[in-house]
Amino acid sequence: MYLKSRQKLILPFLLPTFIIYTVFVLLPLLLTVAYSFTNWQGHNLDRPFYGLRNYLLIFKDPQIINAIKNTAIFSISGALIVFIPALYISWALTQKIKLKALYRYIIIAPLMLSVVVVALMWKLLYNPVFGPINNLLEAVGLDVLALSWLGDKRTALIAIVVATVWQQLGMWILLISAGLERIPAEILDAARIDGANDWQTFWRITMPLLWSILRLLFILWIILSLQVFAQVWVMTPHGGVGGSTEVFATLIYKRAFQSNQWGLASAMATLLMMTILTITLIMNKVTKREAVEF
Amino acid sequence: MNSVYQDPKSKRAPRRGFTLGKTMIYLILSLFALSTIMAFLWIVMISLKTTTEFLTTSPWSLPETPQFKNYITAWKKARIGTYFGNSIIVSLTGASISVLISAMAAYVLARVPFRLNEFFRNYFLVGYMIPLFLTFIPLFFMMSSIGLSSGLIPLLLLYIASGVPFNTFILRGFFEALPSELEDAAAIDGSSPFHTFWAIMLPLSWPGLVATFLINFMSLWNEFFLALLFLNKKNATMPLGLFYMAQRAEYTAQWTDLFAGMIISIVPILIVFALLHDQITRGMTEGAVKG
Repeated sequence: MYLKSRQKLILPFLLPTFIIYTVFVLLPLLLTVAYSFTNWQGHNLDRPFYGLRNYLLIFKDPQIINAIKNTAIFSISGALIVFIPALYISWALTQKIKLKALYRYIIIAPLMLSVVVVALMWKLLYNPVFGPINNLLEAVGLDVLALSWLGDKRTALIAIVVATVWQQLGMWILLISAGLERIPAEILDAARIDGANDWQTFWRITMPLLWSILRLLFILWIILSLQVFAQVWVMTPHGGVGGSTEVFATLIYKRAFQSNQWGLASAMATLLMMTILTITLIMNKVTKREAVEF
Repeated sequence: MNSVYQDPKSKRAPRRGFTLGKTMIYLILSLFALSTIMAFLWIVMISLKTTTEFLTTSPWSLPETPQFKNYITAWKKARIGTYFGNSIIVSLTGASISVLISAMAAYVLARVPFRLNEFFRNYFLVGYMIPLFLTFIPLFFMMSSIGLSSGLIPLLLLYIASGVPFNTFILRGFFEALPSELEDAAAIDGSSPFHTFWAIMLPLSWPGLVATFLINFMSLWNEFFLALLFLNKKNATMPLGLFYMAQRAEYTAQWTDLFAGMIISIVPILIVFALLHDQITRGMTEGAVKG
C-alpha cells in the first residue's frame, strides 16, 4: 500500500542517471559501431557508407597485425609472470608471520597509484643513463645485462609488462587473500589429519576452492591487458623502436588523431570491444566448474 | 612426501623456530617490499638533489643539502599546484555527483517494483561490460559540437557518466539488503517517500556509499585517457600534468622537479590508503567479485 506512494520516486530518481548515462555512455557506444561502417576520413564530417570494408582492411594492415601480436604477447606474458608470485605471496600473507600488515600494505600500495605515475617511475628506473637498475647491474659486474630496456626492440615490451604486473600484483593478492580467508580451517585440518601433506592440501583443496577467484582474476587481466594504453603511451611515446611496443589501443588513438582515419579507428575500437566481450563470456562459460559451496 | 602414510601427529605438531618454509616466506616478502621501498626512496632522494648533483652522483647517494625548493618550483613553476587543484575538483565533484545520482537510481531499482524495473537494471549494466574509453571518437566530436572540446566541464560530465554502471549495480545490492519494514514504518509515521530515502535509507547504507565513493574517487584521481583527450599542458590533472612534465624533462633536463612532482602525487594516496586501508580493500574486493 505504501508502495504506491513510493512509485512517485521512479521518474525523478531515474531520470538524471538515465539521461547522463544514455547520452555519454550508450549513445557513443552505438555511434562507434555505426561509424565503423563508414569511410570517414580527414577533416570533414562526411561519413560515406563503407560496409564491412574497414574490418577487412584491419586484417590486411601490417601495422595493425603487429599491434595485435604485441597486445597478445602483453596479455599472455603478463598472466604468466603474475600468477606464481601472486599465489605465493597471498599464501605467505595468510601464514603466522611478523609485520604482516606492513608487508601487505607495501605490496598492495602500488595498486592505488596512478598508472601514469607507476609508468613514469619505471621509465626512470629503466633509464640507461641515470636509472638505478642498470647502476645496480653494473655494480655487481653484470654490465652485459645493463641494456637500454625501453629502447631495445627485444626488451621494451616485456619491460612494460613487468611494470604493469608490479602494479597489478596488488589486485591479485587482494582477491586471492580474500579467497584463502574464506576456506574454513576445519577442512584443511581434516585433510592434514587424513595424512595429506602441504603440497597435496594445496592442490587438492585450496586450488579447487580458489578456482572461481582465479577465473575472475584472469578475466580482469585479459580485459585490462587488451585495452592497455597509458603505460605504453607514457613509457614509449612513439610506439617504441620499430613499433616494438605498439599495442592495439595506442594504434587506435593514432589512427584517429594522427592520421584522422575515423572510420577505420572506429572499426578497430568496435572489434576490441567485441573481442573483450566475447572472451569474457567464453571464459565465464568454459571455465565454470561446478561451484563449490562453503 | 614419499611415504604413503604419515603419522598425523608429527604433521600436527606445532612447528617451532625458523623452518625452511618460514625463511623462504620472509625472504620473498622482504625482497618484494624492499624493492618497492628502494624505488620510492630513490625518487625521494632525487627530488631533493640539484640537477647537477643528480646527473653526476650515484643514484644511491644522499643529497648534499636537501633542495626543498624543488618542491616549490614544481608546485608553482611546473604547475603541479594547478594540476593538483584540478584533480581534486574533478575527482571530488565527479565521484560525489556520480554516487549520489546512482544511489537515487539504485534505490528505485532495488525497492520499487514497476513494469520496466528489470529492463532498466539490464540497461545500466550494458556499460559495465564494455571498456568505455573505446567510444572516444563520438565522445570527442559530440563534445566539440556543443562547444565543450576542452576543459574540466566535458571531463567532469564523462567522469560522472562513466561511474553509473558500476555504482548503480553495487549500490542496488546495498539497498536490497536493507529490511523493508523500515520504509513501511516511516510511511505510517507520515514520512514522505523522498524523506524516507534521504533521512533513513541513505544514512543506513552509508558504509556502502563511502566504499563506492572511495573507489570512484581513486579511479578518477588516476584517470589518464579522457584527460589526455580534453585537457592540455596548461590546464591538466595530476597524471596528465606529470606526463607532460616528463616529456619536457627529456629536453630541459629539469628532472628534479619531475621527481618532486611525483612525490607530491604519490604521498597523499599513500596516506589515504594507510588511513582507509580496510574500506578501500573491501570495496575493491567486493566490487570485483560482484561484477
